[in-house]
Amino acid sequence: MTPLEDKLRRAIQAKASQVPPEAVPPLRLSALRRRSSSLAHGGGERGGAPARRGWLAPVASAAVVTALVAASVVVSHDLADRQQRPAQLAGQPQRPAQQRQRGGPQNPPASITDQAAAWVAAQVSPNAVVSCDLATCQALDAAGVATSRLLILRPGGAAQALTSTVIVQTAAVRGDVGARFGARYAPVVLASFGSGAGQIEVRAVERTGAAAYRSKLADDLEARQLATTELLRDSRISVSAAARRQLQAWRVDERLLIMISFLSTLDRVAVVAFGDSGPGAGASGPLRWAELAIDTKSGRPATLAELRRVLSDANQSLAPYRATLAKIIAIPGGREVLCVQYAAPTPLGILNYNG
Amino acid sequence: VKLPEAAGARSAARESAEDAVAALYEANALSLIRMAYVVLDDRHGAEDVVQEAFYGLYRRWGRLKDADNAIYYVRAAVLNGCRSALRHRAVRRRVLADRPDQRPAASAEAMVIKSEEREEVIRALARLPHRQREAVVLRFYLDLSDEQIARVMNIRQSTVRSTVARALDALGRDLKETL
Repeated sequence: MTPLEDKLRRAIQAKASQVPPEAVPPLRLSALRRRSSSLAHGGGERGGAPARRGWLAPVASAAVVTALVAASVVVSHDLADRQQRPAQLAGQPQRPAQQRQRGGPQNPPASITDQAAAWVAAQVSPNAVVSCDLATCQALDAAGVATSRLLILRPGGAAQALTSTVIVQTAAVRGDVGARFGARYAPVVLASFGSGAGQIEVRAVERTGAAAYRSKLADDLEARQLATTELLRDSRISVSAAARRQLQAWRVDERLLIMISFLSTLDRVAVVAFGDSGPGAGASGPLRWAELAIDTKSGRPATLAELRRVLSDANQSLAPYRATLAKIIAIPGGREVLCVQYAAPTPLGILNYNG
Repeated sequence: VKLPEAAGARSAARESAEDAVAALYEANALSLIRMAYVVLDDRHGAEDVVQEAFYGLYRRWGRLKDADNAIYYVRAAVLNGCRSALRHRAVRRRVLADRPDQRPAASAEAMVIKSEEREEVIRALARLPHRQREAVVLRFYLDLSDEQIARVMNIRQSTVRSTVARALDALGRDLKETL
Protein backbone atom coordinates (compact mmCIF):
# COMPACT_ATOMS: atom_id res chain seq x y z
CA MET A 1 0.00 0.00 0.00
CA THR A 2 1.37 3.42 -0.96
CA PRO A 3 1.55 6.28 1.58
CA LEU A 4 -1.31 8.02 -0.28
CA GLU A 5 -3.50 4.91 -0.09
CA ASP A 6 -2.69 4.59 3.58
CA LYS A 7 -3.61 8.23 4.27
CA LEU A 8 -6.77 7.83 2.25
CA ARG A 9 -7.84 4.73 4.13
CA ARG A 10 -7.16 6.35 7.51
CA ALA A 11 -8.97 9.54 6.54
CA ILE A 12 -12.04 7.64 5.33
CA GLN A 13 -12.07 5.45 8.46
CA ALA A 14 -11.80 8.54 10.67
CA LYS A 15 -14.61 10.27 8.81
CA ALA A 16 -16.81 7.17 8.93
CA SER A 17 -16.23 6.72 12.65
CA GLN A 18 -17.99 10.05 13.23
CA VAL A 19 -21.19 8.00 12.85
CA PRO A 20 -21.40 6.12 16.18
CA PRO A 21 -22.84 2.58 16.23
CA GLU A 22 -25.84 3.75 18.29
CA ALA A 23 -26.73 6.17 15.48
CA VAL A 24 -28.20 3.40 13.32
CA PRO A 25 -31.97 4.01 13.29
CA PRO A 26 -34.37 1.05 13.38
CA LEU A 27 -35.40 -0.32 10.00
CA ARG A 28 -38.73 1.20 8.99
CA LEU A 29 -40.19 -1.06 6.34
CA SER A 30 -43.85 -0.40 7.11
CA ALA A 31 -43.43 3.33 7.59
CA LEU A 32 -41.73 3.58 4.22
CA ARG A 33 -44.49 1.82 2.35
CA ARG A 34 -45.68 3.91 -0.57
CA ARG A 35 -49.20 5.09 -1.09
CA SER A 36 -50.85 3.87 -4.22
CA SER A 37 -51.88 7.31 -5.42
CA SER A 38 -51.39 7.97 -9.12
CA LEU A 39 -50.04 11.38 -8.26
CA ALA A 40 -47.91 10.57 -5.28
CA HIS A 41 -44.90 8.66 -4.20
CA GLY A 42 -44.27 8.26 -0.53
CA GLY A 43 -41.17 7.84 1.51
CA GLY A 44 -39.63 7.87 4.90
CA GLU A 45 -40.30 11.06 6.73
CA ARG A 46 -37.57 12.21 9.01
CA GLY A 47 -38.54 13.51 12.34
CA GLY A 48 -36.85 16.40 14.03
CA ALA A 49 -36.01 19.89 12.91
CA PRO A 50 -36.39 20.70 9.22
CA ALA A 51 -32.73 20.86 8.28
CA ARG A 52 -33.37 22.45 4.89
CA ARG A 53 -34.47 25.64 6.57
CA GLY A 54 -30.79 26.28 7.22
CA TRP A 55 -30.31 27.70 3.76
CA LEU A 56 -33.17 30.16 3.96
CA ALA A 57 -31.25 32.93 5.67
CA PRO A 58 -28.37 33.06 3.17
CA VAL A 59 -30.83 32.61 0.33
CA ALA A 60 -32.97 35.47 1.54
CA SER A 61 -29.87 37.68 1.78
CA ALA A 62 -28.78 36.59 -1.70
CA ALA A 63 -32.25 37.32 -3.05
CA VAL A 64 -32.25 40.80 -1.52
CA VAL A 65 -28.79 41.56 -2.93
CA THR A 66 -29.83 40.24 -6.33
CA ALA A 67 -33.02 42.29 -6.26
CA LEU A 68 -31.05 45.44 -5.39
CA VAL A 69 -28.51 44.80 -8.16
CA ALA A 70 -31.30 44.03 -10.64
CA ALA A 71 -33.19 47.15 -9.59
CA SER A 72 -30.13 49.34 -10.05
CA VAL A 73 -29.49 47.80 -13.49
CA VAL A 74 -33.12 48.36 -14.50
CA VAL A 75 -33.04 51.95 -13.24
CA SER A 76 -29.82 52.76 -15.09
CA HIS A 77 -31.11 51.03 -18.23
CA ASP A 78 -34.36 52.92 -17.91
CA LEU A 79 -32.58 56.27 -17.51
CA ALA A 80 -30.34 55.56 -20.50
CA ASP A 81 -33.30 54.53 -22.60
CA ARG A 82 -35.37 57.51 -21.57
CA GLN A 83 -32.80 59.82 -23.13
CA GLN A 84 -33.14 58.04 -26.49
CA ARG A 85 -36.79 57.26 -26.22
CA PRO A 86 -38.74 58.18 -29.33
CA ALA A 87 -40.80 61.30 -28.95
CA GLN A 88 -43.81 59.44 -30.32
CA LEU A 89 -44.20 57.45 -27.09
CA ALA A 90 -42.72 59.81 -24.52
CA GLY A 91 -45.42 61.53 -22.56
CA GLN A 92 -48.12 60.34 -24.95
CA PRO A 93 -51.40 59.52 -23.23
CA GLN A 94 -52.72 56.01 -23.73
CA ARG A 95 -55.46 55.83 -26.31
CA PRO A 96 -57.92 53.09 -27.17
CA ALA A 97 -56.95 50.76 -30.02
CA GLN A 98 -59.28 52.22 -32.63
CA GLN A 99 -57.74 55.69 -32.17
CA ARG A 100 -54.14 54.50 -32.51
CA GLN A 101 -52.03 55.50 -35.47
CA ARG A 102 -52.06 53.03 -38.35
CA GLY A 103 -49.29 52.86 -40.93
CA GLY A 104 -51.24 51.62 -43.91
CA PRO A 105 -53.89 49.31 -45.32
CA GLN A 106 -51.81 46.15 -44.66
CA ASN A 107 -51.67 46.74 -40.95
CA PRO A 108 -53.54 44.19 -38.85
CA PRO A 109 -56.91 44.93 -37.29
CA ALA A 110 -56.68 46.64 -33.92
CA SER A 111 -58.16 43.61 -32.17
CA ILE A 112 -55.32 41.39 -33.46
CA THR A 113 -52.75 43.99 -32.44
CA ASP A 114 -54.29 44.15 -28.98
CA GLN A 115 -54.24 40.34 -28.67
CA ALA A 116 -50.56 40.29 -29.62
CA ALA A 117 -49.80 43.16 -27.25
CA ALA A 118 -51.61 41.47 -24.37
CA TRP A 119 -49.71 38.25 -25.02
CA VAL A 120 -46.34 40.03 -25.10
CA ALA A 121 -47.16 41.94 -21.92
CA ALA A 122 -48.11 38.73 -20.11
CA GLN A 123 -45.65 36.22 -21.55
CA VAL A 124 -42.46 37.93 -22.66
CA SER A 125 -39.68 38.38 -20.16
CA PRO A 126 -39.89 41.71 -18.31
CA ASN A 127 -36.20 42.26 -19.14
CA ALA A 128 -36.64 41.78 -22.88
CA VAL A 129 -36.39 44.72 -25.28
CA VAL A 130 -39.19 44.51 -27.85
CA SER A 131 -38.86 46.00 -31.31
CA CYS A 132 -42.04 46.94 -33.14
CA ASP A 133 -43.67 49.42 -35.49
CA LEU A 134 -45.17 52.55 -34.03
CA ALA A 135 -48.77 51.29 -33.89
CA THR A 136 -47.77 48.03 -32.23
CA CYS A 137 -45.46 49.82 -29.79
CA GLN A 138 -48.38 52.05 -28.83
CA ALA A 139 -50.53 48.97 -28.24
CA LEU A 140 -47.75 47.40 -26.16
CA ASP A 141 -47.43 50.61 -24.18
CA ALA A 142 -51.18 50.52 -23.57
CA ALA A 143 -50.96 46.85 -22.53
CA GLY A 144 -48.47 47.74 -19.84
CA VAL A 145 -45.07 47.04 -21.41
CA ALA A 146 -42.63 49.63 -20.06
CA THR A 147 -41.80 52.20 -22.73
CA SER A 148 -38.11 51.84 -21.86
CA ARG A 149 -38.34 48.31 -23.27
CA LEU A 150 -39.87 49.36 -26.59
CA LEU A 151 -37.79 50.00 -29.67
CA ILE A 152 -39.68 51.66 -32.51
CA LEU A 153 -38.30 50.48 -35.83
CA ARG A 154 -37.57 52.82 -38.70
CA PRO A 155 -37.22 51.92 -42.39
CA GLY A 156 -33.93 50.07 -42.90
CA GLY A 157 -33.96 49.23 -39.18
CA ALA A 158 -32.60 45.66 -39.36
CA ALA A 159 -29.45 46.59 -37.41
CA GLN A 160 -31.63 48.38 -34.88
CA ALA A 161 -33.87 45.29 -34.56
CA LEU A 162 -30.83 43.11 -33.85
CA THR A 163 -30.34 44.96 -30.57
CA SER A 164 -33.75 43.80 -29.34
CA THR A 165 -34.64 40.47 -27.70
CA VAL A 166 -38.03 40.05 -29.33
CA ILE A 167 -39.47 41.48 -32.53
CA VAL A 168 -43.17 41.87 -33.21
CA GLN A 169 -43.37 41.35 -36.95
CA THR A 170 -46.18 43.03 -38.80
CA ALA A 171 -46.32 43.84 -42.52
CA ALA A 172 -44.94 47.29 -41.69
CA VAL A 173 -42.02 45.78 -39.75
CA ARG A 174 -41.28 43.33 -42.56
CA GLY A 175 -41.04 46.38 -44.82
CA ASP A 176 -38.69 48.11 -42.36
CA VAL A 177 -36.28 45.24 -41.60
CA GLY A 178 -36.64 43.22 -44.81
CA ALA A 179 -38.75 40.20 -45.59
CA ARG A 180 -35.90 37.75 -44.79
CA PHE A 181 -35.03 39.19 -41.38
CA GLY A 182 -37.18 36.61 -39.63
CA ALA A 183 -35.60 33.63 -41.38
CA ARG A 184 -32.08 34.99 -40.88
CA TYR A 185 -32.15 36.46 -37.40
CA ALA A 186 -35.41 35.52 -35.73
CA PRO A 187 -36.04 31.86 -36.55
CA VAL A 188 -38.20 31.13 -33.50
CA VAL A 189 -41.87 32.09 -33.61
CA LEU A 190 -43.01 32.57 -30.02
CA ALA A 191 -46.62 33.30 -30.94
CA SER A 192 -48.65 34.19 -34.00
CA PHE A 193 -51.90 36.12 -34.35
CA GLY A 194 -54.21 36.66 -37.33
CA SER A 195 -53.43 35.53 -40.85
CA GLY A 196 -52.44 36.77 -44.29
CA ALA A 197 -51.02 40.26 -44.70
CA GLY A 198 -52.46 41.24 -41.33
CA GLN A 199 -50.64 38.46 -39.47
CA ILE A 200 -48.53 39.39 -36.45
CA GLU A 201 -45.67 37.15 -35.41
CA VAL A 202 -43.82 37.53 -32.15
CA ARG A 203 -40.31 36.21 -32.75
CA ALA A 204 -37.19 35.81 -30.63
CA VAL A 205 -34.22 37.67 -32.09
CA GLU A 206 -30.96 35.72 -32.41
CA ARG A 207 -28.32 38.27 -33.33
CA THR A 208 -25.71 35.62 -34.21
CA GLY A 209 -28.01 34.29 -36.93
CA ALA A 210 -30.29 31.34 -37.52
CA ALA A 211 -27.46 28.86 -38.21
CA ALA A 212 -25.75 29.63 -34.90
CA TYR A 213 -29.12 29.36 -33.19
CA ARG A 214 -29.77 25.92 -34.68
CA SER A 215 -26.35 24.75 -33.53
CA LYS A 216 -26.98 25.98 -29.96
CA LEU A 217 -30.44 24.44 -30.07
CA ALA A 218 -28.99 21.03 -31.05
CA ASP A 219 -26.65 21.16 -28.02
CA ASP A 220 -29.57 22.20 -25.88
CA LEU A 221 -31.79 19.37 -27.07
CA GLU A 222 -29.08 16.90 -26.17
CA ALA A 223 -28.79 18.39 -22.68
CA ARG A 224 -32.58 18.46 -22.40
CA GLN A 225 -32.76 14.74 -23.26
CA LEU A 226 -30.25 13.89 -20.53
CA ALA A 227 -32.02 16.08 -17.98
CA THR A 228 -35.40 14.62 -18.90
CA THR A 229 -34.10 11.07 -18.57
CA GLU A 230 -32.70 11.88 -15.13
CA LEU A 231 -35.94 13.54 -14.12
CA LEU A 232 -38.06 10.57 -15.21
CA ARG A 233 -35.79 8.25 -13.22
CA ASP A 234 -36.14 10.31 -10.05
CA SER A 235 -38.25 8.43 -7.54
CA ARG A 236 -39.43 11.73 -6.04
CA ILE A 237 -40.97 12.89 -9.30
CA SER A 238 -44.00 11.35 -10.96
CA VAL A 239 -45.63 12.49 -14.17
CA SER A 240 -49.01 12.03 -15.80
CA ALA A 241 -49.08 10.09 -19.09
CA ALA A 242 -49.59 13.25 -21.16
CA ALA A 243 -46.80 15.07 -19.35
CA ARG A 244 -44.50 12.10 -19.91
CA ARG A 245 -45.13 12.26 -23.66
CA GLN A 246 -44.34 15.98 -23.67
CA LEU A 247 -41.18 15.40 -21.66
CA GLN A 248 -40.07 12.62 -23.97
CA ALA A 249 -40.61 14.89 -26.96
CA TRP A 250 -37.99 17.15 -25.26
CA ARG A 251 -40.44 20.03 -25.38
CA VAL A 252 -40.30 21.24 -21.81
CA ASP A 253 -38.52 24.50 -21.03
CA GLU A 254 -35.18 23.88 -19.34
CA ARG A 255 -35.88 26.29 -16.50
CA LEU A 256 -38.99 24.27 -15.72
CA LEU A 257 -36.99 21.01 -15.69
CA ILE A 258 -34.59 22.55 -13.20
CA MET A 259 -37.40 23.96 -11.05
CA ILE A 260 -39.14 20.55 -10.89
CA SER A 261 -35.84 18.95 -9.96
CA PHE A 262 -35.29 21.63 -7.32
CA LEU A 263 -38.76 21.20 -5.80
CA SER A 264 -38.20 17.44 -5.68
CA THR A 265 -35.28 18.04 -3.34
CA LEU A 266 -37.77 19.44 -0.85
CA ASP A 267 -40.90 17.34 -1.40
CA ARG A 268 -42.38 14.82 -3.79
CA VAL A 269 -43.57 16.37 -7.04
CA ALA A 270 -46.20 15.07 -9.43
CA VAL A 271 -46.42 16.82 -12.79
CA VAL A 272 -50.10 17.12 -13.61
CA ALA A 273 -49.73 19.04 -16.89
CA PHE A 274 -47.38 21.08 -19.03
CA GLY A 275 -48.58 23.80 -21.34
CA ASP A 276 -48.36 27.16 -22.99
CA SER A 277 -46.08 27.24 -25.98
CA GLY A 278 -47.83 30.34 -27.35
CA PRO A 279 -50.67 30.56 -29.89
CA GLY A 280 -49.46 29.62 -33.36
CA ALA A 281 -46.00 28.69 -32.08
CA GLY A 282 -46.31 25.18 -33.52
CA ALA A 283 -45.57 21.84 -31.93
CA SER A 284 -41.89 22.57 -31.47
CA GLY A 285 -42.30 25.54 -29.13
CA PRO A 286 -41.05 24.90 -25.60
CA LEU A 287 -43.64 24.37 -22.89
CA ARG A 288 -43.08 27.03 -20.28
CA TRP A 289 -45.85 26.33 -17.82
CA ALA A 290 -46.61 23.43 -15.47
CA GLU A 291 -49.12 22.37 -12.85
CA LEU A 292 -47.34 20.54 -10.06
CA ALA A 293 -49.02 18.55 -7.30
CA ILE A 294 -46.89 18.46 -4.18
CA ASP A 295 -46.83 15.60 -1.69
CA THR A 296 -44.94 15.55 1.56
CA LYS A 297 -42.11 13.06 1.98
CA SER A 298 -44.50 10.74 3.78
CA GLY A 299 -46.69 10.65 0.69
CA ARG A 300 -49.72 12.66 1.74
CA PRO A 301 -50.88 15.63 -0.35
CA ALA A 302 -49.47 18.92 0.89
CA THR A 303 -51.86 21.10 2.84
CA LEU A 304 -52.50 24.66 1.68
CA ALA A 305 -50.05 25.98 4.28
CA GLU A 306 -47.40 23.52 3.09
CA LEU A 307 -48.10 24.49 -0.50
CA ARG A 308 -47.62 28.15 0.41
CA ARG A 309 -44.28 27.24 1.94
CA VAL A 310 -43.27 25.46 -1.29
CA LEU A 311 -44.41 28.51 -3.26
CA SER A 312 -42.26 30.67 -1.04
CA ASP A 313 -39.29 28.33 -1.61
CA ALA A 314 -39.85 28.52 -5.38
CA ASN A 315 -39.95 32.29 -5.17
CA GLN A 316 -36.58 32.33 -3.39
CA SER A 317 -34.82 31.05 -6.48
CA LEU A 318 -32.60 33.36 -8.45
CA ALA A 319 -32.55 34.33 -12.12
CA PRO A 320 -32.81 32.63 -14.54
CA TYR A 321 -34.56 29.91 -12.50
CA ARG A 322 -37.05 32.19 -10.83
CA ALA A 323 -40.49 31.76 -12.39
CA THR A 324 -42.28 34.74 -13.89
CA LEU A 325 -45.46 33.47 -12.31
CA ALA A 326 -45.85 31.00 -9.45
CA LYS A 327 -49.20 30.62 -7.76
CA ILE A 328 -51.52 28.10 -6.15
CA ILE A 329 -54.55 27.10 -8.20
CA ALA A 330 -57.30 24.49 -7.83
CA ILE A 331 -57.52 21.89 -10.59
CA PRO A 332 -60.64 19.87 -11.54
CA GLY A 333 -61.28 17.49 -8.67
CA GLY A 334 -60.58 20.23 -6.17
CA ARG A 335 -56.91 19.58 -5.48
CA GLU A 336 -54.74 22.64 -5.04
CA VAL A 337 -51.55 22.58 -7.06
CA LEU A 338 -48.63 24.84 -7.77
CA CYS A 339 -48.72 26.58 -11.14
CA VAL A 340 -45.30 27.69 -12.39
CA GLN A 341 -44.69 29.67 -15.55
CA TYR A 342 -41.58 31.05 -17.23
CA ALA A 343 -41.37 33.96 -19.63
CA ALA A 344 -40.59 33.74 -23.33
CA PRO A 345 -38.22 33.47 -25.04
CA THR A 346 -36.66 30.33 -23.56
CA PRO A 347 -32.94 31.02 -23.10
CA LEU A 348 -30.56 28.43 -24.50
CA GLY A 349 -27.59 26.99 -22.69
CA ILE A 350 -29.21 26.86 -19.24
CA LEU A 351 -28.57 23.15 -18.79
CA ASN A 352 -25.03 23.41 -20.09
CA TYR A 353 -24.27 26.12 -17.58
CA ASN A 354 -21.73 24.94 -15.05
CA GLY A 355 -21.92 27.69 -12.48
CA VAL B 1 -60.38 -22.73 0.23
CA LYS B 2 -57.66 -21.51 -2.10
CA LEU B 3 -57.91 -17.86 -1.18
CA PRO B 4 -57.01 -18.14 2.50
CA GLU B 5 -54.14 -20.46 1.60
CA ALA B 6 -52.83 -18.02 -0.97
CA ALA B 7 -53.23 -15.17 1.47
CA GLY B 8 -51.44 -17.20 4.12
CA ALA B 9 -48.60 -17.96 1.72
CA ARG B 10 -48.29 -14.31 0.82
CA SER B 11 -48.25 -13.35 4.48
CA ALA B 12 -45.58 -15.96 5.24
CA ALA B 13 -43.50 -14.78 2.29
CA ARG B 14 -43.78 -11.19 3.50
CA GLU B 15 -42.73 -12.13 7.00
CA SER B 16 -39.83 -14.11 5.64
CA ALA B 17 -38.74 -11.16 3.48
CA GLU B 18 -39.03 -8.81 6.44
CA ASP B 19 -36.92 -11.11 8.60
CA ALA B 20 -34.28 -11.54 5.92
CA VAL B 21 -34.06 -7.81 5.17
CA ALA B 22 -34.01 -6.97 8.87
CA ALA B 23 -31.13 -9.42 9.42
CA LEU B 24 -29.20 -7.94 6.53
CA TYR B 25 -29.88 -4.44 7.85
CA GLU B 26 -28.63 -5.35 11.30
CA ALA B 27 -25.42 -6.74 9.89
CA ASN B 28 -24.69 -3.99 7.37
CA ALA B 29 -26.55 -0.79 8.22
CA LEU B 30 -23.74 0.83 10.19
CA SER B 31 -21.07 0.27 7.56
CA LEU B 32 -23.43 1.42 4.79
CA ILE B 33 -24.52 4.54 6.69
CA ARG B 34 -20.88 5.33 7.33
CA MET B 35 -20.04 4.79 3.68
CA ALA B 36 -22.92 7.06 2.61
CA TYR B 37 -21.79 9.61 5.19
CA VAL B 38 -18.28 9.67 3.75
CA VAL B 39 -19.77 10.30 0.30
CA LEU B 40 -22.47 12.78 1.33
CA ASP B 41 -21.01 14.45 4.42
CA ASP B 42 -24.57 14.49 5.78
CA ARG B 43 -25.59 12.02 8.48
CA HIS B 44 -29.35 12.35 8.12
CA GLY B 45 -29.03 12.13 4.37
CA ALA B 46 -26.89 9.00 4.75
CA GLU B 47 -29.47 7.37 7.04
CA ASP B 48 -32.26 8.19 4.58
CA VAL B 49 -30.37 6.76 1.64
CA VAL B 50 -29.70 3.51 3.50
CA GLN B 51 -33.32 3.21 4.67
CA GLU B 52 -34.53 3.72 1.11
CA ALA B 53 -32.07 1.13 -0.18
CA PHE B 54 -33.29 -1.51 2.29
CA TYR B 55 -36.90 -0.67 1.56
CA GLY B 56 -36.16 -1.13 -2.15
CA LEU B 57 -34.58 -4.50 -1.35
CA TYR B 58 -37.65 -5.51 0.65
CA ARG B 59 -39.94 -4.64 -2.25
CA ARG B 60 -37.85 -6.66 -4.69
CA TRP B 61 -37.08 -9.54 -2.37
CA GLY B 62 -39.38 -11.98 -4.17
CA ARG B 63 -37.69 -11.23 -7.48
CA LEU B 64 -34.14 -11.77 -6.26
CA LYS B 65 -32.73 -14.88 -7.94
CA ASP B 66 -30.14 -15.42 -5.27
CA ALA B 67 -30.27 -14.11 -1.71
CA ASP B 68 -26.48 -13.75 -1.85
CA ASN B 69 -27.05 -10.97 -4.34
CA ALA B 70 -28.95 -8.94 -1.77
CA ILE B 71 -25.91 -7.21 -0.35
CA TYR B 72 -24.74 -6.23 -3.83
CA TYR B 73 -28.17 -4.89 -4.62
CA VAL B 74 -28.30 -2.83 -1.45
CA ARG B 75 -24.75 -1.45 -1.86
CA ALA B 76 -25.57 -0.38 -5.42
CA ALA B 77 -28.82 1.17 -4.21
CA VAL B 78 -26.96 3.13 -1.53
CA LEU B 79 -24.51 4.47 -4.12
CA ASN B 80 -27.39 5.37 -6.46
CA GLY B 81 -29.15 7.11 -3.59
CA CYS B 82 -25.98 9.06 -2.76
CA ARG B 83 -25.63 10.07 -6.40
CA SER B 84 -29.24 11.24 -6.45
CA ALA B 85 -28.79 13.17 -3.18
CA LEU B 86 -25.66 14.86 -4.52
CA ARG B 87 -27.49 15.75 -7.74
CA HIS B 88 -30.32 17.24 -5.71
CA ARG B 89 -27.82 19.18 -3.64
CA ALA B 90 -26.20 20.53 -6.81
CA VAL B 91 -29.60 21.63 -8.14
CA ARG B 92 -30.38 23.37 -4.87
CA ARG B 93 -27.10 25.23 -4.94
CA ARG B 94 -27.64 26.21 -8.53
CA VAL B 95 -31.21 27.42 -8.16
CA LEU B 96 -30.70 29.19 -4.86
CA ALA B 97 -27.06 30.14 -5.27
CA ASP B 98 -26.86 28.21 -2.03
CA ARG B 99 -23.65 28.07 -0.08
CA PRO B 100 -21.95 24.75 0.53
CA ASP B 101 -22.88 23.26 3.87
CA GLN B 102 -21.13 25.00 6.72
CA ARG B 103 -18.54 22.76 8.28
CA PRO B 104 -18.66 22.39 12.02
CA ALA B 105 -16.37 24.68 13.95
CA ALA B 106 -12.97 23.15 14.49
CA SER B 107 -12.85 21.20 17.74
CA ALA B 108 -9.75 20.86 19.86
CA GLU B 109 -9.11 17.54 18.22
CA ALA B 110 -9.52 19.06 14.78
CA MET B 111 -6.74 21.46 15.56
CA VAL B 112 -4.35 18.53 15.67
CA ILE B 113 -2.36 18.39 12.46
CA LYS B 114 -3.34 14.79 11.71
CA SER B 115 -7.03 15.70 11.80
CA GLU B 116 -6.43 18.65 9.53
CA GLU B 117 -4.71 16.34 7.10
CA ARG B 118 -7.59 13.89 7.18
CA GLU B 119 -10.12 16.64 6.59
CA GLU B 120 -8.08 17.79 3.61
CA VAL B 121 -8.10 14.25 2.21
CA ILE B 122 -11.89 14.05 2.66
CA ARG B 123 -12.34 17.40 0.94
CA ALA B 124 -10.17 16.23 -1.95
CA LEU B 125 -12.24 13.04 -2.10
CA ALA B 126 -15.40 15.16 -2.37
CA ARG B 127 -13.91 16.96 -5.36
CA LEU B 128 -13.54 13.70 -7.33
CA PRO B 129 -16.14 12.80 -9.97
CA HIS B 130 -18.94 10.66 -8.50
CA ARG B 131 -17.81 7.39 -10.04
CA GLN B 132 -14.20 7.75 -8.90
CA ARG B 133 -15.30 8.70 -5.39
CA GLU B 134 -17.59 5.67 -5.19
CA ALA B 135 -14.88 3.28 -6.38
CA VAL B 136 -12.41 4.70 -3.84
CA VAL B 137 -14.88 4.41 -0.96
CA LEU B 138 -15.79 0.83 -1.90
CA ARG B 139 -12.12 -0.06 -2.12
CA PHE B 140 -10.70 1.78 0.88
CA TYR B 141 -13.65 1.76 3.24
CA LEU B 142 -15.52 -1.47 2.53
CA ASP B 143 -12.30 -3.21 1.37
CA LEU B 144 -14.07 -4.74 -1.62
CA SER B 145 -12.14 -6.55 -4.33
CA ASP B 146 -12.15 -5.42 -7.97
CA GLU B 147 -14.69 -8.13 -8.71
CA GLN B 148 -17.00 -7.04 -5.89
CA ILE B 149 -16.72 -3.36 -6.83
CA ALA B 150 -17.49 -4.28 -10.44
CA ARG B 151 -20.67 -6.05 -9.33
CA VAL B 152 -21.82 -3.16 -7.14
CA MET B 153 -21.09 -0.48 -9.74
CA ASN B 154 -22.15 -2.64 -12.69
CA ILE B 155 -18.92 -1.99 -14.56
CA ARG B 156 -16.04 -4.21 -15.73
CA GLN B 157 -13.15 -5.11 -13.44
CA SER B 158 -10.71 -3.39 -15.78
CA THR B 159 -12.81 -0.24 -15.49
CA VAL B 160 -12.69 -0.53 -11.70
CA ARG B 161 -8.89 -0.68 -11.80
CA SER B 162 -8.57 2.29 -14.16
CA THR B 163 -11.16 4.32 -12.21
CA VAL B 164 -9.38 3.75 -8.89
CA ALA B 165 -6.01 4.51 -10.52
CA ARG B 166 -7.34 7.78 -11.99
CA ALA B 167 -8.87 8.71 -8.64
CA LEU B 168 -5.58 8.10 -6.80
CA ASP B 169 -3.73 10.06 -9.44
CA ALA B 170 -6.11 12.99 -9.06
CA LEU B 171 -5.98 12.82 -5.26
CA GLY B 172 -2.19 12.72 -5.37
CA ARG B 173 -2.11 15.84 -7.52
CA ASP B 174 -4.73 17.58 -5.43
CA LEU B 175 -3.04 16.82 -2.11
CA LYS B 176 0.53 17.37 -3.23
CA GLU B 177 0.71 20.83 -1.76
CA THR B 178 -1.00 19.97 1.48
CA LEU B 179 0.43 16.55 2.37
